[in-house]
Amino acid sequence: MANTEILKKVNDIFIDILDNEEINLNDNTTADDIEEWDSLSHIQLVVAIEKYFKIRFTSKEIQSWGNVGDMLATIEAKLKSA
Amino acid sequence: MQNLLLLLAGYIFYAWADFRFLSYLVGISLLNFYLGMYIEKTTNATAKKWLLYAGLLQGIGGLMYFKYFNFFISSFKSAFQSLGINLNVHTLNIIIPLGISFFTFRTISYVIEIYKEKITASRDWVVFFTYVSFFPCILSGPIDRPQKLIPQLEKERVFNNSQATDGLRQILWGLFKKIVIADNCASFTNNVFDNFHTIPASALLIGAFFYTIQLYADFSGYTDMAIGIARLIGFNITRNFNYPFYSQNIAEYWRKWHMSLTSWLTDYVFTPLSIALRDYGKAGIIIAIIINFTICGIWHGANWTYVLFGFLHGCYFIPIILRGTLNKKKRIVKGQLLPSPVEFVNMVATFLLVMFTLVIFRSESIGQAFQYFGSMFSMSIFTVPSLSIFDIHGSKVIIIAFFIFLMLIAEWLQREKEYGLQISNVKRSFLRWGIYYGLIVLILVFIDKQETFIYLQF
Amino acid sequence: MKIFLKKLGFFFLYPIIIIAVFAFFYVKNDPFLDFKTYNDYSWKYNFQSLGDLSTKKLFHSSAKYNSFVFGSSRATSIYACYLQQKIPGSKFFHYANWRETIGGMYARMRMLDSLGYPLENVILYLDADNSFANYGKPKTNDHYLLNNESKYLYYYNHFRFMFTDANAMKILLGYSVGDEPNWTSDPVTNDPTHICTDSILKHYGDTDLERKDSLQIDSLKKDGTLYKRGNKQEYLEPQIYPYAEDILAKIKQLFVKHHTNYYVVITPLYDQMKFSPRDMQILKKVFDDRLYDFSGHNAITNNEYNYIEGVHFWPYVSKQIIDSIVKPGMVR
Repeated sequence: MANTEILKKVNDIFIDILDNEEINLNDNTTADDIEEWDSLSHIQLVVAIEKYFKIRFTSKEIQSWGNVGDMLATIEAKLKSA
Repeated sequence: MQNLLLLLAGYIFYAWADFRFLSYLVGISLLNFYLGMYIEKTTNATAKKWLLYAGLLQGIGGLMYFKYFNFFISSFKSAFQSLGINLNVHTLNIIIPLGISFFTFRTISYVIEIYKEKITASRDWVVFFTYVSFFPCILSGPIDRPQKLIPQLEKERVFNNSQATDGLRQILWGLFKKIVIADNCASFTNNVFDNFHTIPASALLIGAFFYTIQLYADFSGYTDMAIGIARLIGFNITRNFNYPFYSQNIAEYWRKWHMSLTSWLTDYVFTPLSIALRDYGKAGIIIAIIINFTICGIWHGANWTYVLFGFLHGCYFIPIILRGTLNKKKRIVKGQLLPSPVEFVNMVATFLLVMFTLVIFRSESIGQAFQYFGSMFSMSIFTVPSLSIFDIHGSKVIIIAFFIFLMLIAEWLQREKEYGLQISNVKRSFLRWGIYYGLIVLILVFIDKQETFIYLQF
Repeated sequence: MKIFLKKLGFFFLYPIIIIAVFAFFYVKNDPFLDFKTYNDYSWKYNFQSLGDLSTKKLFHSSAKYNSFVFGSSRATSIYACYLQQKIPGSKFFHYANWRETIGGMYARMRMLDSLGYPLENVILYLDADNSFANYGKPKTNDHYLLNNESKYLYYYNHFRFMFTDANAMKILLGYSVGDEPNWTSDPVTNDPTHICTDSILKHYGDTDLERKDSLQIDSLKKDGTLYKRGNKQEYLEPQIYPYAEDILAKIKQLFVKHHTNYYVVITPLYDQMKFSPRDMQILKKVFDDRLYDFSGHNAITNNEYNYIEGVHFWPYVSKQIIDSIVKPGMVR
């Protein structure tokens, strides 16, 4: 999948889990930018992304993300190697 | 040079409070300083891991030994005793180093962040040692992360008029909360908790209310003073309170109470736990939360009351997690003068939930806490209590209740500001000075027997 | 930085000047007798604590006291000089305090014991309405050595009081409030209300001198001061709890240590209320046959003429009590 497609899918997942239609992610978005995105919802997002893309992150990878861009990069890498 | 002075000030301050463990403080600073550098230098992944474990072991081990060794021994003993077996183990005469729970968390955070490659190890030992023993925070926090404080230590601080004024103001507000409200509430609650089986249930309820306010005023007052002092010397340290009593559910409450501890636990306990348990859906999150908050409870001290306190708070999250409304944050509109009826009910409900657990927190044993509750849920809940139960001068109770009300109103109106007395937007300087003088008069009039800070013992 | 410090300086300068002026007048006036040694520690102002004044007097006295009177204002009716007559070899110090609690009494005894005073003879007046109030805790306005508090907080509390009480401020500025007691206490025994002359001793217990006449009694009855009491004996709610029980045990310990010849009297109060049976049991267990209960319905309390008003009885009542319980030969 191309990067923009991944971004769109991830954006949809965010909208669904966080129950907020107005979410519009970009590479630099962090949890500080979205009110509903905190440690509790974070794990739900991770699970939803793993389920949708049928990939599995390591704990290290998850904790290494600083923004949405990092997340997308990891997703892309996992999809490529799948 | 500035840092050296700061470091010395920190050590003198710590020695004045408790000189016995100054060497321990210096020792662990040294240990973690070198650990940090080695973790960064090593390229071998296994070696890195073991160095990290060494750091964690030292921190947690130290805490375990000083704070919890006797607790384990006596709990172990009574568990076996209930089976009729008498173990010949003895508790040791262990004294707890002041502030250990706070500075240990700072060092643990440091090694973890280096391991995760989020920060670089400090090369300047003065900077690092000062980070560990930063004197406004050494005794009772807030718990600063290295990312926040070390960069500030590495830069030179320049005097800033408005920052210094802000700092003084915050110190004044902290003093007011501590001396006028917390200390006076303490004399009331001591009377209630010392004699709880002899007073009517309504007084027990009011006592629990006073204790909740007392804990907040004491700890947030101390925090305001610490942050204010740090501001005076040019530092911006992490916030610890964001008006927690205006929270509408328990999740929001913990985002606003003792924030530096909650965020520390979230990053280093909850997040890895929830990631590890993520295949178990909501049950996984619930387990992670309960473990997280039980640890939060235990952090406060070696007593089953703290364990139960933490555990209960974890359980409070269950309805929120199950309902799935976790992510919808009910935000009170900015600038709104009064809360809506629904918001108000939510705030009161959250307050009551917390108040309930604080009876356990304050009690000396779980048995005593349940006795308190037992006495509280009885018909005498409808008896109007005599004010002399709380204080020989009944009028004092009324006056302090008035100041509590004042504090709650002031902080409500100022809830978008960093601290209650942030009135730099008040134009007339005589008005501002009037408020300052008023608070100082109140402090001078109401200062009494000095109670130590509640969180000093943790 | 300079502007900041200058502003800060002015901010504190104004109040410091005001406080300094007040402090000057306060120290000059010295209404609590804190700052100099005086000859007379009698109770002059309403806001002074009798216990505080007595403690200061004790420290400035060289007399070797070995006997003490403890209690509340009701105990001022005990003439210590009369006790000295009754108990040969006793050197009494009258050491009562307003609204004294059991905790206050113990604080005094403990301090005396630690300073090496022998507690040979002790009269202790317990009031059913007061001695166990506030859980039995001692009053906070007492002398700092009794409260075990810092000397400076004690001085500060006195200073602070002068500015939080209207009458106190008036006195500080030199005005009289009108109802100052202006008592004169005995320089040796510290009897609060009088100097122990032969005449005083001779007339102690003289009912003709001290009673009110029937007209006065009638008017006091009418205005409710001497209110009508019921016929049935009533009991108070239990009021002796762990803190007070602990204090009682400690008092007993001191009595045992000093082989004290002690008398614990439950005062004959106008309200005729008795301690609850549970409390009486506790008191009896501690004080045994040295507990003398004059409370409730009895010949003393039934007679309105025995009372100055609804709260205090005449001194001759105490003399009658002393005569009935302190017998020669009972001295251990």
